[in-house]
Amino acid sequence: MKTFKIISFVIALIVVFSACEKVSPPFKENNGGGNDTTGVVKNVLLEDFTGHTCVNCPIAAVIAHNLKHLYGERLVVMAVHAGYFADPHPGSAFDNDYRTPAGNEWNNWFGLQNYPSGLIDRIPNSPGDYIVVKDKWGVKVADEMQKEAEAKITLSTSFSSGMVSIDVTTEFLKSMSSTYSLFVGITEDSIVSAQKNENPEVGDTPIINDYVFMHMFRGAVNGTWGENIFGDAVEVGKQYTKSYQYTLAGDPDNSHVVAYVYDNDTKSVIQVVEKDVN
Amino acid sequence: MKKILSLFLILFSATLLQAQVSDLLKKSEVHGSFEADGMYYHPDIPMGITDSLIAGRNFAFNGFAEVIYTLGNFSAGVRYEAYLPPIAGFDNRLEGSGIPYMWASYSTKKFSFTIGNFYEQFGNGLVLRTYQEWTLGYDNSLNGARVTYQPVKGIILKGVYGTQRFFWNKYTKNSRGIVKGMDAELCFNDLVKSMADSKLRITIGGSFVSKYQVDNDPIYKLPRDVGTGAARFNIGIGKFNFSSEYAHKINDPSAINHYIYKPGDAFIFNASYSTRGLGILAVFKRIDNFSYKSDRAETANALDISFLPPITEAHTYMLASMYPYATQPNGELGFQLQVNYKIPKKSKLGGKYGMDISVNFSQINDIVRTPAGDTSAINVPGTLGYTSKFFQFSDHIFMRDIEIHLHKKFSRKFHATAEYLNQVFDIASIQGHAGDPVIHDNIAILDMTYKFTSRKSLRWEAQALFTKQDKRNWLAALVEYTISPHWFITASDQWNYGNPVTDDQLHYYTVAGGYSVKTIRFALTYGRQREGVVCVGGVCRQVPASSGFYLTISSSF
Repeated sequence: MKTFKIISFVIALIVVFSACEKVSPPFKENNGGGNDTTGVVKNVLLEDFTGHTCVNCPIAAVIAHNLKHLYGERLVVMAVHAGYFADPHPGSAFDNDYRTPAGNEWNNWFGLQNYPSGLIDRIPNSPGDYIVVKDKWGVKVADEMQKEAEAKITLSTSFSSGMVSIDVTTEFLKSMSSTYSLFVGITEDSIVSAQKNENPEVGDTPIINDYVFMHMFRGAVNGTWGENIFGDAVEVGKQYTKSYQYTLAGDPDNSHVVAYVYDNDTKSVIQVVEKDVN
Repeated sequence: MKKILSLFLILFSATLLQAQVSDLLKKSEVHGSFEADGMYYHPDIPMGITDSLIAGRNFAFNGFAEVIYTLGNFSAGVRYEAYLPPIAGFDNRLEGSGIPYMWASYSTKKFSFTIGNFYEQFGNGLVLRTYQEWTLGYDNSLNGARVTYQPVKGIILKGVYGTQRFFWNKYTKNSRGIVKGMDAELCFNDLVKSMADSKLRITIGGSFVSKYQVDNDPIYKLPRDVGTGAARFNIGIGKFNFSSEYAHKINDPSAINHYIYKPGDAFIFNASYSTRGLGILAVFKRIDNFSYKSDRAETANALDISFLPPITEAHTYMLASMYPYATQPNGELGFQLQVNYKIPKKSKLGGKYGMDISVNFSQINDIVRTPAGDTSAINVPGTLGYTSKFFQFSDHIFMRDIEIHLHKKFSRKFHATAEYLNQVFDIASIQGHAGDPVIHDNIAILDMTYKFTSRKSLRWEAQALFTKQDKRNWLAALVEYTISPHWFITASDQWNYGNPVTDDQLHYYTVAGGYSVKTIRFALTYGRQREGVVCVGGVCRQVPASSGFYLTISSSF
C-alpha cells in the first residue's frame, strides 16, 4: 500500500511538472489570414461596443483592426458607441454624441455592462449571454470563419446628391428552418475627436485628442432590427431583392453600407457584407 | 409455512434496516447557513436615478443556502444561490439561480479525498487560492478532485485537479483552462522529535500549479500549458517571526498583460516582533507580471488562480474606505510598516486603563520597466514586453497610506477611538479614471461609545475628508444605539459639501435597524449609495448610484 502511494505521488509529480510550454520567438502566428473569397464563404460580423470616455476601448479597436487586417473583407467591424462611456459631456472634449437609437437598443437588449465588449455574429455563449470580451474576439471570429455559408448577400451602392441608393440581394444556399430578417446600416471611418486612453502603446494618455474613430456605426437604414423580407419560410436558390434610399449625414468617401441577415429566433447573424458608399 | 417464513424474514429485515437507519441518523450531523439580501430601488432625481433608468427592475435579490452533512469520515455539502437579478454593483453575469457548489469528501487521519467543488490555498496563495466572498459576488472554486495526504506528522501533501467556477457557465470543451497543482509542506518541529519543544520553529513548503488552455488564437502562438512554482518558509525565533514566499511563472501572454511573453514573479516577505504591549510588523512585496487566470482572455474579476495579497490597510470607516487600493497584477513594489503599542495603565498618558496606539505606513509604487531588447517599446503585444530590476522603485506611486490610530478607555462606561489618515491615491491607474489627478487627502475620524448599562450603549462617529481633487471635501456622521443582544438602530450621513458642482453637493444618508435572535439576524436599511466606476483588469464597470430599501436576513444552524 505504501509503495502504491509513493508511485501514485511520483506519477502525479511527473504529470504536473511536465505541464509547461515555453514558446520561442517569433510569438505571432505566420498565417495568411482568411481572405479566400473564391466561392461563397461565411463572413463574420464583429460589433465593438465602445465609448469615447472608455479608457480601455482604444486597445479593443486595435484588436479589431488587427483582425480586420488578418481577415480582410471576410470580417465586418461595426464600432457601436453606446452606454455610460459613450455619454456626451457638453463643454468638454467629449461633447460629441456618437450614440444611435439602434446602438442604444442593442446595448440594452444584449445586456452590455462592461466596456469594451463585443458581439461576434451575435452568437450566444450560453442562452441569453452574447457578450464576448475583447481578448476572445480573435478566437470567436476564427471559429465563426470555419462555418459554412448559409446565405449569399450581394450589395450594390451608389451615391448622389447626399443620398445613398442601396440594392441588396439575398440568396439562401441551403434549406433553413427558422425565419430571418435583413438589416442594413451605415458605418463611417476617420472621424477625428477626443478619446480617453490608458494604453501608451495606442496613443497619448490619458486623452488622445485627435483619435481616429474607425468603423463607427452611424445609423440603421431599415430600423434597429431590420425587416423580414423573406416571409415565414425561405426558399433555397430564390433571390430576395430589396432597395433602399438613405440620406447620408457623414462623409460619403469614408462611409460604408453594412448588410446582414440574421435568425429572428436566436438573433445570430448568418451572413454579412460591407460595401463603400461611394 | 413458506409464506409465514417469508413474512418473518421481511419483518426482520425491515426492523434491522430501521435500526441501522436510526443508528446512522444518530451519528449524522447537519449544519448550514443561509442569507437573503433584497433591495427595492426607487427614483431619486438629485442622484440622477429616474424611472426610465430603473426600467421596471425595482427589485433585486441575492441569496444563498448552504447545507453540510457529516457522518463519521464522510461529509458532503451543497450551496444554492440566486441572483434575481443581482443587487446593483454585482456583476450582471451572476443573474440566475441554481446549485454552483456541491461536494463530497472522505477523510481519515492521514488521508482526505474530495470530489466536486472545493476551496484550496497553497501557502500565501501566490500560485493558488480559491475562495468565495459573498459580499463581493466572487467565487473561483475549483470543480474536480482534491487529495491531501499526511504520510507522517509534519508532512502534508496536497493535489488538486479541476476547472474553476465562472458565474453560471458550465465547463465545456475549451471554454476555459484546466488547473492542476501540488503542494508539499514540512514542519520540522513536528517532523524532528528533538525540535518539538524548540523555540526555533521552522516550516518550509513548495507548490507547483499548471493550467492547460487550448490555443486557437489566429494571431498569437500561445502556450497551452502554463506552469508556476513557489517556495516558502516560516521561521519563528522566540518573539520574532519571519516568513516569505517566492513564485515564478513561465510565459503567460494574456489580456491582462497585453499578450507579452515575459515570465512573471511574485515575492512577499514578512517580519514581525511581538511582545506584551508591543507588536511590530514589516512587509515587503513585489509583483511583476503575475496575473494568473484559468482563461487568458478574461479581464474581469473572475477565474483567478493566484491571489496577490494586499499590504495596505483595509479601512472600514465610511470616508477612510473612499479610495480602496487594488493590487496591480502587472507590477507593483511596496512595503508596509506597522507598530502597535499599548501605553501601560497608570502611566501619565495611559491613565487608569492604558491606551492603544497603532501607526501604519504603507506605500505601493510601480516597478521600473525597460525595453526587453526585441522591441524598442514596452508592453508591445507579441514580444517579451520589458525587463525590470527587482528592487528598483518607480517614481510612480500607486498608493501611500499613513494611519495613526488611538484607542482609549476613559471609564467603565466611555471609550473612544481617534484616527488620522494621510493618503496618496492614483485614481487614474487604480480605478481607470484616465486623466484624473492623483488624490492627496487627509482624513480625521472620531468614534466614541458610551455604555448606559451593560446592555444599552450609544456609539457615534464624526468623520471628515479633505482633498483638492476628485469630488473634494466630505463630512460624515453616524449614530448607533444598541440594546444587546437583540436590537440596534443606526443613522448615518455622508455629505459631499465640497463638490465644485453645487447640484452634486449631495447627502448620502442611511437609516438602519436590526434584530438578532440566536443565530438569526434581520436588518433593514433605507438610504442612498454613491455612484462609482470600478475597473478590474482593464475592464471598467459603472457601479450605479442607488436609492431605496435594503433587507437582509441571515442565519446558521
